[in-house]
Amino acid sequence: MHSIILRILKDKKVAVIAYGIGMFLIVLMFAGMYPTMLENADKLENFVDVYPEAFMDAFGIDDFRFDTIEKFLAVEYYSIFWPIAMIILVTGLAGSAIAREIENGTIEYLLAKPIERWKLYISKYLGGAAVIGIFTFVSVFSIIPAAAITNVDFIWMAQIIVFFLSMLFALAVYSLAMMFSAIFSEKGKVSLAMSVTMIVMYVLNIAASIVERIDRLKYASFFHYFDYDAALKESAFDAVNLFVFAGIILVSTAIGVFWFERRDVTV
Amino acid sequence: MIQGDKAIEINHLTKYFGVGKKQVKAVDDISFSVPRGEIFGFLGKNGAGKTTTIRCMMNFIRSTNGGIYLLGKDAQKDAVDLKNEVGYLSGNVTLYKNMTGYEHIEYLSNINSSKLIADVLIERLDFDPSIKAKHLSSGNRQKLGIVLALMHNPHLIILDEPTNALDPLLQQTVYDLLKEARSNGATIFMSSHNLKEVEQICDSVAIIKEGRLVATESIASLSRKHLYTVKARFSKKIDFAHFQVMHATCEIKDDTNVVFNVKGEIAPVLRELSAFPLEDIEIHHASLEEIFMEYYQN
Repeated sequence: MHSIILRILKDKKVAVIAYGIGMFLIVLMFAGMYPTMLENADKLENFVDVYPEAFMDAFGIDDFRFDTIEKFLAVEYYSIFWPIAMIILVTGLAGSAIAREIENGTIEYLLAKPIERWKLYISKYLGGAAVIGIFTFVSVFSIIPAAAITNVDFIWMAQIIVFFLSMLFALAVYSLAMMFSAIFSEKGKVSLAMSVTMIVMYVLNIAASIVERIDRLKYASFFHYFDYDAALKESAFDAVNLFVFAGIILVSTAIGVFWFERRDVTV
Repeated sequence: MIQGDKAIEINHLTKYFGVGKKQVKAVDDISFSVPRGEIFGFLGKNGAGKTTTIRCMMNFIRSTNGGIYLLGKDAQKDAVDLKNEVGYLSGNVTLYKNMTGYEHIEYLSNINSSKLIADVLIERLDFDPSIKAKHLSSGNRQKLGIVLALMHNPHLIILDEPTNALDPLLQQTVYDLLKEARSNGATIFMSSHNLKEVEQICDSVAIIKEGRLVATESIASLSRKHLYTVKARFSKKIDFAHFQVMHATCEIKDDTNVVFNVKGEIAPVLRELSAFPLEDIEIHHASLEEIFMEYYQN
């Protein structure tokens, strides 16, 4: 198993470095902007007063005072930027893990080796999870050097909580993508399935926060459980969110393993 | 029951793809066995079911019906255990394009396997393993595929078109490697389009047509088939109407030259021909290719 995990880390080395540098620069940019935003907080508040309340609800924006960098990052970084970067990375990782190997025909080398299919799946899963761990760690804790460079204060506990929440969110998305990767035989189909799923979930979450009649639909969206607001603004988390993500990881992985064990692999 | 001396035993293997009206029968109730220590050729046109059978043997796909036993073990239930002893070469060698030959060997040998004779194979095949796969020619990719299939010195070698893209010299090297593996006790199962290579190195063959097995015979017994080609040259112009009654199809080349394709005993044909002014006659057994075509035409 370790050989497959190490291979994935080696293969994704360049992507991890590129993503790491990119995310650090983005966080550095936000940290650099933060003092200016803080100085102009009043003007900004007057500006956003003209926005419809439903719009603010839809995007989870309830406080533009930005008295901590965490509040600023919640709105600018974790609301949309980080999830998009994470979903792109995770979908690519999962699509390469199984579907692309089937598409390219290289899966036959692995299947011809004395290793159970479930172990192969789990090895691939763990390799990708390690990459996601590095990405999440770098993308969250880039705030440490960025804050030092820009002379901004941050709250350790909030960052630690948002790291664990982000990691679980990313693993939940990854587990779902891995499940699709075990079902489909083309990476493109995995990307398509994930794009549709994530867009539907995102829209559901926003629509549910605007239209009271469909309020319950928010529970069908991963984004509802990614409560970065509570993590960053209050250094708090809801255990239910963690259990939901853990449940999604377990169920998606179980289905993925089950499917991969039983499916015909024709390259 | 599995016989101890059989390396491969396939019983009523059936494989359908798809469901309902779209169901396609790829392999239809085929049964055959291969004794240990043989090189066995598996012949058939494209789409006949060769690769599907091989994939079922490797447990990449699961049979709809029937059983496959390799080296006395169930190919599905004992797949993991079995793969310690099986070497496999795909019909379409695709590699990890950013990995070198060495990296392929290291990566795959680290997955519960070994690279016992990798260096020997590299030398014999004159392969440079330091080059990334994306820069390899199709022949070199095939060489690497062969190294990966044989590097753990398997007891059963399953090859789908092993000499694809190899030049004649390297084809000969591969034949030598396979013959050596056989003399060391390994069994080789290979599909091929190259009937000459099958004739040259295989002990037995099976011919598959539209998913059904049409023949399983030793090469020696195929050679004994009463299929001949007779080339006759006469000293003067002949009335070819006489030949229509012969137990052979005839192909008239010109006024004095005729080629007969004989199915069955040759003696009556020779008797009839002796009544004509023969100048020269040439008789040869049908090649495997001609026998193969005969099976396919029937």
